[in-house]
Amino acid sequence: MMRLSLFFFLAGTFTVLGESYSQGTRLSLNLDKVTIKQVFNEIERNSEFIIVYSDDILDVSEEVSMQVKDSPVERILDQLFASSPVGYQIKDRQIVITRKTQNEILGIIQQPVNQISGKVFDEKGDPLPGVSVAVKGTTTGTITDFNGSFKLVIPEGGEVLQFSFVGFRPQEINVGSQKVFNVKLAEDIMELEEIVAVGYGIQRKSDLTGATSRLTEENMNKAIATSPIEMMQGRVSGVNIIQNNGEPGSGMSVRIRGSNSIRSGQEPLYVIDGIPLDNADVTPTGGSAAGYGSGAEKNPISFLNAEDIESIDILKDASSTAIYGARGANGVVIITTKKGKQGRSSISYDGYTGVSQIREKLDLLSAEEFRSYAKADGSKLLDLGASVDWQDEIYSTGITQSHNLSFSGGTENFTYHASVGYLDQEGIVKSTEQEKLNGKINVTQKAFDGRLNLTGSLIASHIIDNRAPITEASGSGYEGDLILTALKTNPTYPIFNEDGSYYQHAKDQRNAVAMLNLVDDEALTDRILANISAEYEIIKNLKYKLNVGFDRTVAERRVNQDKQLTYLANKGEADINTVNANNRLIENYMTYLTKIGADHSFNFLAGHAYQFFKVSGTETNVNGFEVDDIKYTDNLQYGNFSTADVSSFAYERELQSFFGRVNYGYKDKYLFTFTGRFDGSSKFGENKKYGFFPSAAFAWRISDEEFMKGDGKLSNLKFRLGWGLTGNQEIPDKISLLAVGTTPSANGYFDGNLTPGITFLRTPNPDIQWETTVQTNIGIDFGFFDNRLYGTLDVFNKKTKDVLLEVPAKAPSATQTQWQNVPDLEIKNNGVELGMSGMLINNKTASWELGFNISYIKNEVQNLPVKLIETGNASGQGLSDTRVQVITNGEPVGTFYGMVWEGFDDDGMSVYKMDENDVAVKEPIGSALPDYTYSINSKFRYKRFDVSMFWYGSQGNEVYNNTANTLFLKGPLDKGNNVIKEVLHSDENPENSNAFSSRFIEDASFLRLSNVTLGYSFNVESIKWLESARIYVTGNNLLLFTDYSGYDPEVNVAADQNGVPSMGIDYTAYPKPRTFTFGVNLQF
Amino acid sequence: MIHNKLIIYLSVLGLFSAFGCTDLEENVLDEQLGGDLINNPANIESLINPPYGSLRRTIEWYDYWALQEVSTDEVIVPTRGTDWYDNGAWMELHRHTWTSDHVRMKNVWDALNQGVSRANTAIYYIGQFAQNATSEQYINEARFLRAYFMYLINDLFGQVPFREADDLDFSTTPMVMDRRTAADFIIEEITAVMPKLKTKAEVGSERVTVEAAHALLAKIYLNYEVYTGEAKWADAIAHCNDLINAGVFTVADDYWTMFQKDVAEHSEFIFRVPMDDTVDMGSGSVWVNFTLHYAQVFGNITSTWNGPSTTKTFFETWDMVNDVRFYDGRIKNQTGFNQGFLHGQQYGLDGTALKQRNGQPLIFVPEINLSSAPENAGIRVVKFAPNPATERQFSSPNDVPIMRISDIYLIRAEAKLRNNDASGALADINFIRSKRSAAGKTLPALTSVTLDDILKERGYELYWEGLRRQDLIRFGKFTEAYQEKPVTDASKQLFPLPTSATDVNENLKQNPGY
Repeated sequence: MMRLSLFFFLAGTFTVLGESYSQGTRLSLNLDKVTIKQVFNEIERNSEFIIVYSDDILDVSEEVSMQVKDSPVERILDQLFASSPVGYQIKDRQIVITRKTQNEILGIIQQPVNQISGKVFDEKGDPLPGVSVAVKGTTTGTITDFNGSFKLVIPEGGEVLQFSFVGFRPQEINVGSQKVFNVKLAEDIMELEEIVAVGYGIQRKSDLTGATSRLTEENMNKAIATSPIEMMQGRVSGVNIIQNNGEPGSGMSVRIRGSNSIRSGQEPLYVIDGIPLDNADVTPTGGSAAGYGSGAEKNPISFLNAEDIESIDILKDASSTAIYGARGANGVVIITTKKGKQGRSSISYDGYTGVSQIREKLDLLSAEEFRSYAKADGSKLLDLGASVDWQDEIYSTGITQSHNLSFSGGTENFTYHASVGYLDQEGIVKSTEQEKLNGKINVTQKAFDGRLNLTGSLIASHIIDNRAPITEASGSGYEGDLILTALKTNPTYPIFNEDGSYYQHAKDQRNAVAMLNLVDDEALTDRILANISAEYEIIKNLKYKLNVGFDRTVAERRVNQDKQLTYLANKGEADINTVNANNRLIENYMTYLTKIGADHSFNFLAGHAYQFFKVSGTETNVNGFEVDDIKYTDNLQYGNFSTADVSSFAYERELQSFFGRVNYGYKDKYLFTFTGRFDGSSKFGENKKYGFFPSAAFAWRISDEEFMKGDGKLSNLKFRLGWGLTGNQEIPDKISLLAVGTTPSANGYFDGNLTPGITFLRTPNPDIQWETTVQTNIGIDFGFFDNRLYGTLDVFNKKTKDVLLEVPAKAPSATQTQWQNVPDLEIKNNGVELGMSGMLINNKTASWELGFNISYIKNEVQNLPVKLIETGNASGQGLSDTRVQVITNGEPVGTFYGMVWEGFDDDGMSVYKMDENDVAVKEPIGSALPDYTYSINSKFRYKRFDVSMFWYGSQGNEVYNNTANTLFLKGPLDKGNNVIKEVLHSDENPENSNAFSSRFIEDASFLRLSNVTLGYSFNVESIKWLESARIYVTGNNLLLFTDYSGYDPEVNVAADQNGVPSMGIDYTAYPKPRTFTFGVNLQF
Repeated sequence: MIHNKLIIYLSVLGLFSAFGCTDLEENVLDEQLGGDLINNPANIESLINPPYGSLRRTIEWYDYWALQEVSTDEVIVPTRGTDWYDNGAWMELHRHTWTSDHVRMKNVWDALNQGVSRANTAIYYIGQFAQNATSEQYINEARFLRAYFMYLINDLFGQVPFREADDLDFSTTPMVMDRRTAADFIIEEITAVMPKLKTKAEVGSERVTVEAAHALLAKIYLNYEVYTGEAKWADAIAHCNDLINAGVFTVADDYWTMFQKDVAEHSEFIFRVPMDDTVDMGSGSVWVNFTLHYAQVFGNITSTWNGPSTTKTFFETWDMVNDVRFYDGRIKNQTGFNQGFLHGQQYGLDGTALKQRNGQPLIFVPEINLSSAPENAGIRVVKFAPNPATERQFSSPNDVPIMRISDIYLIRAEAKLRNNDASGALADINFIRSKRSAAGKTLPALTSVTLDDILKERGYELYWEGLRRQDLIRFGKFTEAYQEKPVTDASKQLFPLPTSATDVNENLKQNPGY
């Protein structure tokens, strides 16, 4: 009945600008015998005006003719309505057609008995224009004017007035004998009409059938979030994010609904503005000198500027992700960047500066305590007389500053958003730093009467990473990386010799300060993500879209290790390593929206996508440098360039996909979604090029049923059921093909000459294919008390089959292992997720929103054809060939496995649980997977102050403290290493072995106060040029409750074995800082 | 409206025109996929190289060598506080408490089977070329090498999986030979290729030769009783005679010449693995780094690990004064230590008395507690001389003999004694002993010989050369007690098949006792 455009509301909020739009706009019309409606359409098409009217005020089918030239719109409207009983009002770009008052028509004052009037306000008491006011059960209605006022004649039998407006909760009022109505509409906090991103499109949240979560600026973690992934951490139920360590820009492990695989490649698919990224690590390796490992992997989307992100949608269940087929099994994260908005230009500046410090140092022996320690035979440890706290020597306060400037705006046909960002984040380990420069431009252009919609965006980033010689588990050797060295070094060793040079005790007892200052490790990474898309509406509701994307990364890392470092194999050493990655995408798809009858609505999607990836890299290592005053990498000729170690690699892969989706809604209450995708990958075997990934989902909006109405407490209830198949195609390249080549161990050496040997390098498997995950999801969305209390509950069951594994080949065969989709093996994840939020206080002066979420996931491996798969390579002396984790039947992925420690005997030697043959029993001794994870957030506003707080935690998971297993024992102390104070008082015998056992498995449950922010928004009403201004202080990582004895229980260093990833292992991980930030947000 | 239809038509075309724009063929950029490379007769050298390359794995200290030595009285790797526990691998090996999950057994199984597979590849692909003298020689060498790796597998595990060279479908389950079948197959293979092999005079001891074939047959016949229950002493003696009488080999007058850093060919060597510390061979045994104490660094050898030692049991069998094989000082001026056995106070290159990390003097003593030994516990052994000036301190500069003529004399002595020819045995053993004397050191000749004497002599001559386990088993001593090792069950004379092997090949039946 009533044509009420959503734009009305949007436009209505922009009344400040363009007061004179109507005066400045002139139109020419030459129309012969057309309907009034066509005149309206013509006006709307040739201007930015939006015309709002009600059918019962005006019959738009009436035919008119109109010839005007260069006329203001008022003149056209006056002419049009000269003989009609209607008037109009213009405010900015809106034209509202109103009924002429009786006065105006008849020229006399004659109040009808059943006429009422009133005014509609929002909660702040500001008048609301454009609110629809209708008499229930009749066709009578009107719209409030710009003062929020309305007048209405109540027809015969009219008893109830209905007020409704987009973004506000509808209200009904009994008419009775009242004549004047002052109505206050409450904002709809549930924002039921929220739009969310789904694969290849957007959807109203209320129409969703799958399990997805959306984060917007409101509820993302800000404040020193250098990567979008950090902004998600702890915010979404069912998504477990672990920041692997505290290095600026460090890697994150993201597991959406558990571990589905027993290989690497468990990260979700990231889609940025429609472009699926490749998760390939583009971090070049570091130096190759002994003890200098490759460093932690960086996270794949850290190049994005956190400030540029509009929203993050996390697709969790198979019915949502199956549209991404063979890449959907690990979940999909859709990131939408900010776009310009029509009618509104704005400039904003966001900046902050922060200080970071180590949260808590390990409690090592001081030089004094170290000196006073006497061994069993009474002898003392080596004392060189100095007193150094080596932790203090490597940790310092890091300063972070960030500046972001953006401007955006647009007209009806053109919008733009541009931003530049600068971030300089110093780590808490000296000389570690990440500097990031970002630029982004996004433009949209409409053409052909708005039927063609062009979008272009360009995101560019330049990142400079400065690193210290800190490495992940394997690779640091027993000599130790920077942190291990600082922890173990004798505190009586001086830093410098008397001549000013570094005191370097021995090859395996290095000087941490020398390592810091004599190693220069800088990586530069440039990335461009560009895309352009064109959408054309061919006929009404049939749209064709072409999307072309390009993602390119060039990274170069240069490492200089100074010749003064005595542990280097051959004088000074230089490394130059590069990685080059390309990702090209072309997508075509069509959508068609239609309605059959009043009750059946359909939305079809069909498309094709082709994506091409190419990654290549080089590595160069030269040693033997003796020069001073020059960075070795700047001129390799000064080194032993003729014996340089060089290597390179390159691979490319293609993906081709055909996909489709049907959304069907019956009466808007029963919603069905069916998707399917054929995915082909060049990585798949000759016999298995394409896989099919279907899904189906059903949702029932129970609260829209008649029988649920009338109960004022329940405001929303939706039931969802989904099923789908998704794939994981993150399998290694080339494994379907036989490879023949040379390897040093195959070379021949005769007569003093080395000659190449050709041998099989891989046993091919032409049947290799993706892993398949079947997932079923049941969910309920609910809202009570006008949605002031709302939440989502999901229960899911996930099962991965065709699990890809490198299994022993049937010897003798081409190689010792072969990649296979193991037939019966299953990895199960069953889980429950609950997220709830409540608006406890909500009035003009104060509001308080409290939310929490909790996830429980049970992981289990079944039908593994071998007894155990080992992973989790322990590091350190005496721990060679020690794997601490296994994958085995009936246990979850990430199970720690080893001897059970029962304490010390009288001699201070370890006692283990024994079997009847007096052999130590090995059994599961813990799990790196938590029983459940949870988070609590609170947002409180009082007048102009806001306080928010965010806690998250994990319960029931264990961590293997490899650092303690290597360092913090009596033996190392007696050898002259520093240890934590606890060791001093332990009964351990110095000759006790450090065999891995449950002794070093620690409870890693924790609760962290991740963030507290206190903000103040200034009253800027009197400052014309300022839209808003807010200042805030934030504390990050303020409190940590845990029994874990290391730096941080939230840790995950890479200790893979044969490509099987490990979890929950701590070996000298870079500690997470505590950070205080002061920031400003300004909008002009 | 025509306009619209056209657009529909075009976009539908655009939508689906990409069909078949790619066949998704994987385009491999940084590897050769084979075909051309392996089928090119010009690459024949490259095809025979890989099985030779696999020989280097058999002299890696932590692989095959460790299984044959750490399980015996010659080598003990004690846990020293927080060093060398290594998931119990070394303690289990020494105490015979290993299981089928022992990582070293899996690695050795894989390495030896890789040798078999590489030999098969050579046999098959060289066999596809037009045949000439070279291709025939290489195929025969590959057949010998395959037999050699099978012999090692058979000796350790008692079962040998087998594929014919032309079986390229690696998804099929290979058949498995039991110990006797394997031994007979190996003998048959070697016998078949022997007449066609080159001689040491033609190609040197770094390649497979007719002499190497004799030596391997002698070894297999010597152990044939262990493998099958049936003795073949006469066959062993016959092949030893062939070698000794050929006049190609002479027992060294100076024992230690074989173990110097720059030695390549040597009059004793029948079959050797050439090693070089100037090139990357994918491996290289760290013969000195692994045993020396942390303080014993010299030249470019800067990383020493304080690991394997010898047992008190073995140490005390020696004539420490007269046997030249016990001690040789010729490298001391480059290293600070001697070759042979390192015991007592150790000195640096400059003559200073070395200290342990705790400041105590570094005195190597034979007393060892396997599960928690101090830094100085254990007598160390340096057989192969290091290259102090090396730029690859973890590569071996020494060519390593895996068959040499002294061994053949001792095999003949043993076979003769077991074949009731005691005087023949005595002559052979005394011949070797006479060669192991030097100025001022006279190793007395034996007046009579027992099996015990032969085992002892084998220990003196061949210690730390990767033969001890096989010898102890043949003499029935493997299960006896020695330092830090109790009497163990006879089933320990075979290693368990690795779980990773039995998991995938149901034809392999786990050995009894595991």
